[in-house]
Formats: sequence, structure tokens, C-alpha cells
Amino acid sequence: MKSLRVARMVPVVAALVAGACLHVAEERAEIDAAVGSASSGDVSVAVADGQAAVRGLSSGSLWLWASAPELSVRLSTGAEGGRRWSIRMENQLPDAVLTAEVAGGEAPVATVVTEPAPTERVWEVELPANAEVTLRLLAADAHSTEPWRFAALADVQEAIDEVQDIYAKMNTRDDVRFLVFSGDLTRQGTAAQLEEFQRELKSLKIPCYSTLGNHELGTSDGMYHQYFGRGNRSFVFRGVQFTMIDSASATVDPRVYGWLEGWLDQGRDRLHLVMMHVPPFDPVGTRNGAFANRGEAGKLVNLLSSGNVDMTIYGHLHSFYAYENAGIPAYITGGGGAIEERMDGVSRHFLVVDARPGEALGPVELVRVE
Amino acid sequence: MAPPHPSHLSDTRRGLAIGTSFVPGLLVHGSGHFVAGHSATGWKLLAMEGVGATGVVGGFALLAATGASRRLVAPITSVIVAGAGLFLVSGLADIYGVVAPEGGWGSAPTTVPWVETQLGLRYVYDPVFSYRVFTTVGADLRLGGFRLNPSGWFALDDANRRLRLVGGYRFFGPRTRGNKVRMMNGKPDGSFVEAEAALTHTRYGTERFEVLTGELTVNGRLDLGHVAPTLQGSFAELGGGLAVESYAYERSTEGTDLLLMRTGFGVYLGHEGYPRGEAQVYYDHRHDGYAGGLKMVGLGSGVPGHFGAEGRMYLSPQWGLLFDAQVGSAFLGGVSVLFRHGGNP
Repeated sequence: MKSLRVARMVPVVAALVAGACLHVAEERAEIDAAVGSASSGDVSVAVADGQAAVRGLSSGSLWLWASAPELSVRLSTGAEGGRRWSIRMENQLPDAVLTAEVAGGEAPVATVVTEPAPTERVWEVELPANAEVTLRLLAADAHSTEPWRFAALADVQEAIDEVQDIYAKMNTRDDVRFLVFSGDLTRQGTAAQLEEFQRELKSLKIPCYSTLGNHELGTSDGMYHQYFGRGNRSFVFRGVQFTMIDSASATVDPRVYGWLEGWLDQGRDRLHLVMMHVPPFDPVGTRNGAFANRGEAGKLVNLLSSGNVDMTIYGHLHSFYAYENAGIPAYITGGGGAIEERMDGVSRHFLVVDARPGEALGPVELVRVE
Repeated sequence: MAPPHPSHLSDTRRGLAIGTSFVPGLLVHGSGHFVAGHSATGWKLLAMEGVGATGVVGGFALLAATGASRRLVAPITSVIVAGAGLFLVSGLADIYGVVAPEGGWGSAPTTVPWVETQLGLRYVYDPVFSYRVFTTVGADLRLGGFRLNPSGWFALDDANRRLRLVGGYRFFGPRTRGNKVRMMNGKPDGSFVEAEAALTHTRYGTERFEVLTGELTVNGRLDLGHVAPTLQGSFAELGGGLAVESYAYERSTEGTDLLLMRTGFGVYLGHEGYPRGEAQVYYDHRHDGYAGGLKMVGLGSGVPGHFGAEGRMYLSPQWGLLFDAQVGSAFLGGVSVLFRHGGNP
């Protein structure tokens, strides 16, 4: 009788344990590893370091959403690929150029045929069949060491209908090279909401490099990646390393810790910004809008500090905070329009960050959007 | 005239009461008692559920209205956790009241031991930390209402260890032998209120940082026999407080604070003789420690604390076992051997 009672409890306990899965970000890390690679018949494409989402691929046509200012793309054209290829590049720097190099040395010229948006170009280039082609999206100033600026924003969520106010203000800033977005683009991460976010972005004159927030997990774990690419990645631009981490589940997947250690090694001797959605620590500790486990939060920020990270930017909290984590200047900018924290004196806003290669990141300017 | 205890009902009616304590009882607390003819208790449990649900819904509405303002978030969260606790307790109490025999499965101890020591092993599975197995040691020293509890967790496979010292005072409730025993319905009353101060130092040797935590809490237990006779032998717990933490990193030391809220439901096991002890399930809003806060799929991860279950069973006047399990950012479970002196005869 007693053993029967115990047996009845087993499925209940199993269900509880399964529901409280600890590897909540594992699937997204696996998806990350596959971002940027696609094939269709004998045509295939591989974006170096997964720095773009492949939105479409067929013989003669490639459609990418760039997740970094510069890209290196390996394209196998296939048996039917000896033709004029259309390369649709979304979210690119307005002045970036596309080059093509066929294995063997030939370098056909890519030309812009349409500019549907400030950050979108449709390029065409004549490519041979059965060729291995390297396409490169290049920014002329990528290796400049002159001071420059970028903007930071997060947490638009349900306020997508008002986001144009923010973009309009951002568009008045000719000194800002691109926008980094630390998560919660949408309310629930549905395909329609992700598409809407990309549509609204078309009025912005600069590209937006984002990672995902917890609100992108409202529908399915992999939806964001189809539209915006990897949640975890790192790129270098004008003397600054930008590392974006997927902390949408209030944790970092163990596999990503491995990637992060490599990126920290790469960025040890240059300015390094690390951004993610959920902050390791909430500056208001009693609220804990932060990592689920403070031990992990301590582990992460100490790792960033030992890796010489110069600044961290988070979202998730719908206000503005400036504080420090493990000695690293930390900013929370959740001013995209989602339900605002009251009684804090800050409404919708974005940040503009000065980058002085070889010196420092900052100061950070709070730009209010009233 | 008082209705007969549910355990004295016909098998059919009692089975029906137990069934309805789950469906629709998990939604309409008190259902089991209504079917068992204990309408007064049913109404009390339903009222407790209503107050608890109002606390949760109202708290979340306030959080949304204030955008989780830094000025109000701690009291609002406290209301939500307390409300959720009341909801949990009223639901489990309904089931307990119709399942348990008259007088409950056990009684509260009349006294607490002067000394209780423990030595055990814990397994912790946290995917972002390499430690897995800990040996745990501790001693609970009591005199009258005063309590001192030093303890330590030492990883056997990693450079991690935690040292903790708790000092407390029990304002009322069972104390060491020689103090007055409070009775309720002819049985010992295990209800208590005590204040605690604690210092905890955790060294994350592999990760090269340390955390020092200071905390103040007030914890209470109410034997639910005070609510209704059918609930004799069960209890509810609620505690709250505040902690401040200092993180010593390689390059800096920084402070933060932490809201402490804990709520649970438990039962005494055994009336006299041995084995005898108690068991409880609880929610703890802590986000520190080895269990941390709950990780979840979807968009809610990070805010909740962890859930746990604990059983303490004495097999003789001096020797016992402590089992515990927690689910948060980690799975944690283990057993300790208890040795006490001066406990319940």
C-alpha cells in the first residue's frame, strides 16, 4: 500500500522537476551556433561568426539581416548559380559597401540597385556557377581610431506604436554611428511583432544591433533568431569590442560562458562593451529584476572585470540607472516606452555613449524623449 | 453540534471530500471541508484563499501601476509573497483536513533540545558552477528563548564553502525544558515567533569572489489547530526580513540588499514515541545561497525565489535524520544525521 502511494507520487515529482528545468537558455545557445548558415539545393551560405541572420536563400538570391557593421559571407553558388545575384542586405551601415571575391582571384563588382530604407540596400553582382564566393560588407571607418559615438536603447515592448518618437530624436543625432539594443524589442516575441519591429526600424537612419530580452521568449525560444540572428556574439568596430550576451532567462548558458571567455581574451587590450538584457544585479536589490541566482551574478561580473571590460549596458528595468558591477561602470537603459518605473524622474530615453579608442568609453549622455 | 471529523465519515463521502479537495479544491479552497460537512472551516479556508489571492493580484496590479518603483517594490513584493503563502496554505490545509486522521498525523513537540548537531551530505546541481557535493555540519544551541546556530557547508569537489552564524530569540513558543508548555485543544501548541540575526560568508574559490551577508528576520509558525479542529497537527509559517550583502571581487567590493520572505505549510509526524518529527513544503524568496531563485522557461525567470521541502524525523530520543530538497537555479538535496540532547521525551 505504502509503495503504491510512493509510486503515485513519482509522476508528480517528475513533472515538477521537468518544469523547473535548469538549462533554460541551452536551446537558444544551440540555435546561436547555427545562425548564419543555410543551404538551398546545392546553394549554401555561411556568415562568419554568425554575424547575420539568413532571411532568404535561393539560386541567384540572398537576403541577410546584418547583426554587425562588417560581415564576411561565404557563398557557394551551385550549378545554376552562374547569373546575376541579388543580395538584399538589411540593417547595414548606410555607407557600407559590398565586395565580392571569387575563389581564384576574380572580383566582380557589386552595385546598388535599390535603397528601400536608409539601412537597406539591394545589391547585384554577377557570379559564376559552382563558385566559392566571399562577400564582404565593409565600413570605411571600421578601423579608424578617431573618437565616435553610438546609441543604446532597450525595452520597447508594447510601445512599438510610439517608437518613432525615439527614432526621430535619434535621427537628429548625426554623431551617432549605430544603435545597440539590449532586449525586449517586442511584447511577446511573435513573428508579427518581430516583423513590426523591423518595419518600424526602417525609418531609423542607423542600423540597430540587438540581443534578445525575456519578452522575446513569450512565444518560442528560436523565433527571435530567425529575424535578428544570434543572441550571443561579439564584433569589433572602431577600436571597441561589442559583446552581446543572451541573459533573457536571467542566466547565461554554460556554453555561452565558454564563448564569453574567448571574447574577453580577444578584447582584453581594447575598449570592451558588454551588453545583455537582464542585469546580473538589480541596483535595487530588494526588487531583484536580475539574475535568478546571485552567485551566478557575482561569477559573471567578476569574470567581466577580470577580462578588462570597460562598460556594461543592460535593459529589463524601465528606468535609467548608473552604477558599478565589480568595478565596471554599468548602465541600465529601459527607456524604450514599456511600462515606466514611476517616481524615478526618468521617462522615455536613450543613451549616447562616447567611444575614445585607446582611452575610454564614456561619458554617457542621457537623451530624454518627452 | 459539531460535525463528525472527516475520518469518521463513510468511505464514499470521505473519498468524495478528498477528491473535491483537489478538484475543484485546488481552485476553490475549502471544497473538501464543505463536502465533509465542515462548512465553517470551508468558509474560513475560502476566505483565506480570497485574502491571499487579493494580495497576489493586488500586489501585481500595484507593481504594474508603479512600474516596480524602487520606492515601493519591497513592501509590494512582501504582500505578494505573503498572499501567495496564504493561498498555498489554505489549499494544502483543505486537503490535509480531510485526509488526516482526527488529531492529525502528529503533535508539536513540547520542548526544543538544548543542543542539536547535524552532519550530512548535500548534492547540488547548478549548471553554471562546478561544485556538486558538500559536507554540511551545524549545531543548534538553545537556552530558554535564545538560540545560537553555527553551520558550515564545504564542497568536496570544488573550492567553495559557506559559513553561517545565526543568533535568535524566541518570543513565544516551545522552548528548552523547564519552560512553560502552551497547550491547544489538549495538545502542545508548536506556534512560535522568533527574531533572528545572521551572518553568512560564502567563498566562491574557483570563481574568485566572496560574499558576506548580514540579515535580520522575524519568523513565525501558527499551528492550524487554532483555525479549525480538522487542521490539528498542521502548521503554517511566514517569515520576512532584510539582508545586506557585500561582494568582494578581485578588483572591488560592492554592496547590495536582498528581500527575505519565506512561507510554508507543514505537518507534525508522530504523537508520542518514535519515529517522530515534522515535514514541510515552502517557498523562499531568497536569490542567494546554493538554490538561488527559480529559473523558468518563458519570460518569468529571475523574479521568483526557490521552492523547497524539508523533513525532520527523530528515530530515538537522541538520533534523527534531516532530509531536504530545493528547486531554484539549482537542484539541491541531501540528508543529515541529527543528534540532540534535551529534546521532546
